[in-house]
Amino acid sequence: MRFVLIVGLCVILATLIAIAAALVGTRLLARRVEHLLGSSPRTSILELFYSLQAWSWREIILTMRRAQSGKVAEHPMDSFVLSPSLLDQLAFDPATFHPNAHPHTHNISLTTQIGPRAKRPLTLRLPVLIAPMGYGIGLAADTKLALAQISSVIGTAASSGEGPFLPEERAYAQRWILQWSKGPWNHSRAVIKLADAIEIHLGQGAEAEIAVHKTHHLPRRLKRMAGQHQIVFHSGIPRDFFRLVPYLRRINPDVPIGVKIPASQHLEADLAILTALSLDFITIDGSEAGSAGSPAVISDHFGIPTASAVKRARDWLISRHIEGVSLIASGGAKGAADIAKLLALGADAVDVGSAILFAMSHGQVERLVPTFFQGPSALVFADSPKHRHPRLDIGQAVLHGTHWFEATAQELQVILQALGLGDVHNLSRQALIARTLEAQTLLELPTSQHVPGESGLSQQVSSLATEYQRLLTSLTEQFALLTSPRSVHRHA
Amino acid sequence: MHKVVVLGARFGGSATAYWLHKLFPARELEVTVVDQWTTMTYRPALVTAAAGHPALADQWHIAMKQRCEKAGQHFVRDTIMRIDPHQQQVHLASRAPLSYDTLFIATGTDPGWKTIPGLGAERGGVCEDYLARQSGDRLHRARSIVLAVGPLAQAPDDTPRLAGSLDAPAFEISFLTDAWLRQQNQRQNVKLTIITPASVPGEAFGPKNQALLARFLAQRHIDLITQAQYHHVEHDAIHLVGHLAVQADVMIWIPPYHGSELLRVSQLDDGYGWFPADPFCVHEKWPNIYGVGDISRTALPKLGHIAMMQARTAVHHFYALRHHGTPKPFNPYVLHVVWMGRGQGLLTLSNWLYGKGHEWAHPGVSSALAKSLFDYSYKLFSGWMPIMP
Repeated sequence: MRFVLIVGLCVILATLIAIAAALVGTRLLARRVEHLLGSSPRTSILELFYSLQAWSWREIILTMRRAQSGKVAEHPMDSFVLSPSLLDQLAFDPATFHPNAHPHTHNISLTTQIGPRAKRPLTLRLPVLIAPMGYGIGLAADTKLALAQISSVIGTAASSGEGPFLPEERAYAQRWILQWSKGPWNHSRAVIKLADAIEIHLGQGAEAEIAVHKTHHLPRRLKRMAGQHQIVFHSGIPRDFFRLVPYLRRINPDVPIGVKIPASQHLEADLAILTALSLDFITIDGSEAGSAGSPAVISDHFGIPTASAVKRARDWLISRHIEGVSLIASGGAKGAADIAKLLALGADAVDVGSAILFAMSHGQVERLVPTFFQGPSALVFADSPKHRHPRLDIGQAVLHGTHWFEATAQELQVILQALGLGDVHNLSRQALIARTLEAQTLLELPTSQHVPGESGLSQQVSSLATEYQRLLTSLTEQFALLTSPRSVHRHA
Repeated sequence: MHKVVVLGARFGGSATAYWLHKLFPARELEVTVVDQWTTMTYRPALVTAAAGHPALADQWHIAMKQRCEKAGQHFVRDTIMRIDPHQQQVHLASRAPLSYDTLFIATGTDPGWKTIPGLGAERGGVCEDYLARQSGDRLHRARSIVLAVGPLAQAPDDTPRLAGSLDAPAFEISFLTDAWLRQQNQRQNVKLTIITPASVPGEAFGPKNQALLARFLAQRHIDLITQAQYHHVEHDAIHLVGHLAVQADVMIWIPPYHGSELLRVSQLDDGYGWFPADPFCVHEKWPNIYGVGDISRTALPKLGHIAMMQARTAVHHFYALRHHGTPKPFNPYVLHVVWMGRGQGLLTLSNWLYGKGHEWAHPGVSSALAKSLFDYSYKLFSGWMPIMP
């Protein structure tokens, strides 16, 4: 009994001491903070507050990177986007009386064809493509295989990206797009023959058309494939570009052939050149597009937004009465809403990259963070065998990637249902509302703020018209009274 | 050295590589195995993954490249584009052509996903790891499950005749799914249906097995539609000729088998995409080319066991030619165990299909144990077991 009493007293005493220490500590801390706030911020930590007013974390990290490496600073994943993005400045116009909302979602068609003029068009179960991401220069082999498997179980297409040919990727993918790059591989007749579609890579949003040398983070198999050669992707347009399309068509005559370009301010001039080549599709990579590692000065500061580029490209094709050329939007699409907006603006299909990579790494990142302090990219990106970290669980990655696609397909159907549409091909700009004046101006859409008659000029015109209407009615009545029989006058 | 090239590293290709290693001294042959995968997926085990256990799909990979290289053989990972029998070369996608003196083709049949309108791998399957994994995952959200067996496109004069590509996996998945659903008290909420172009269940096994299978299907309330002719497929229904539509939340296909594109482009097929083999698995026109397993028109039904026996026949014939022996022709019989769920299996040993009339069927725990023993031995020894069929 006495022992219990002593222990109890000790506990109470310890608690009191702890409370007193906390009070004193808090007070000291408060005094220190107060002093800090009052002192000159020139050399204190408060300087960070002023820095972050002008600098983003992105720029600070890039500055540190430049300071440490002395080289062009790069960053992975998506490029810098002004907030809110152009896609977020759009909303959908819900169906009410005319048209009605669609009764069901399950029979809403999402099937899409890329290159309908080709003998063997690329038929997709939904208008979403896995963005081209090459083995070794971007993704790890396991990630490529997982993406190929996802493409087959979902009914979309996988792409080689700029990396070398992987036999197992081709074996897994039911629909496989060969990206004909300016790099050292994938130019053999056999590989060209294996493709279900061919995309000539002239440039991309994150890199424009600059030359790219790959020297770091190369996996062993890629090094073996490259042999003694340097891995260089040449800049600009290939010298024999205008002979390339007929050459590829001779080797693989049945499949759609297209070109990928970065979205530029002179987009229409590019389209005029490209459509003269009888292409089946054109991929436009907007300024939001990212990569596994591109110079920040390009990826964050070049190009026009995907939404704007798609709208302009579709307008141009319509104005020139060019049909049968599919338009693929690439860059910045994060989910079904973005995809539907790009389709409404004129795209036939949308490339998605980062979102799928995030989905694939779901449930596996916790293996990295506590031990290796790495992000999801460590699981999916290619790396040198010297850097050890857990490998991607392909089974889990495929399941989660597939779930993402299935959810996206359902969300697209829900959007179409709410718009009263039974087919994804019926999506048009009429379904869109601009939430901001910027979106209204860039995309020539009605805004949510627009109510007829509220602006100054239109109000005056409207009131003038109303007055004229009243005057006309009054004059008509007077005239009728003057010209009517006398009995009517009396009755009146 | 005599150059031998083996195309394919699954059941037939792996067994061929094994017999080449077993029979011939290392200095006599230079063996090169070609496949697009360095690992083999042990496909008979995929039915367990498709029956609600997707994680199992990734546990049946066998390092075949390692196995072959350990035995002193070369392994080439590439896509096979074409065989040129005149130049004795195999053309690959990303490297120089491979020359051969003797060629063994064991690349299997291509799935005929495009032979039925609306059908595709995305509808669901079991024959590859990713398809079985996906089917197993989708099963968790299904109220109606359909196991569909595609047709087998044989040459008109081929014997014996089979209507379905391979029906055994459909029975296995249905029995295993039934057991799994009963374990969770969900069986009453889920409708299970098998569709097959065959007139009876287990068309290659013989009447005893067929009667047993029919009885087990009825006992477990699994519907069976026979003599099906497919018209087209939608995402939630299979339409049969005769305007019958079978609704399906989840469908799992054993796809139509319609021969090999590799043989067609190489002009080595019988006109229908199949390898025209004699009783020793030798090509009817090219004596230095052997066809092993599903690709051969004589490999019926398209089971792993048949492929292993054909590999044995082919390599022994090749050995007899070089060492002046007397080869034995292919003497087929069906040895197969159908998983029944609840620790049960149905073992079939039969040559009824080939007109010889012997048939033995044994349902029970011992059959399931025998199958498990074979599966794990195959994995443990990377396909090169101490005792090979």
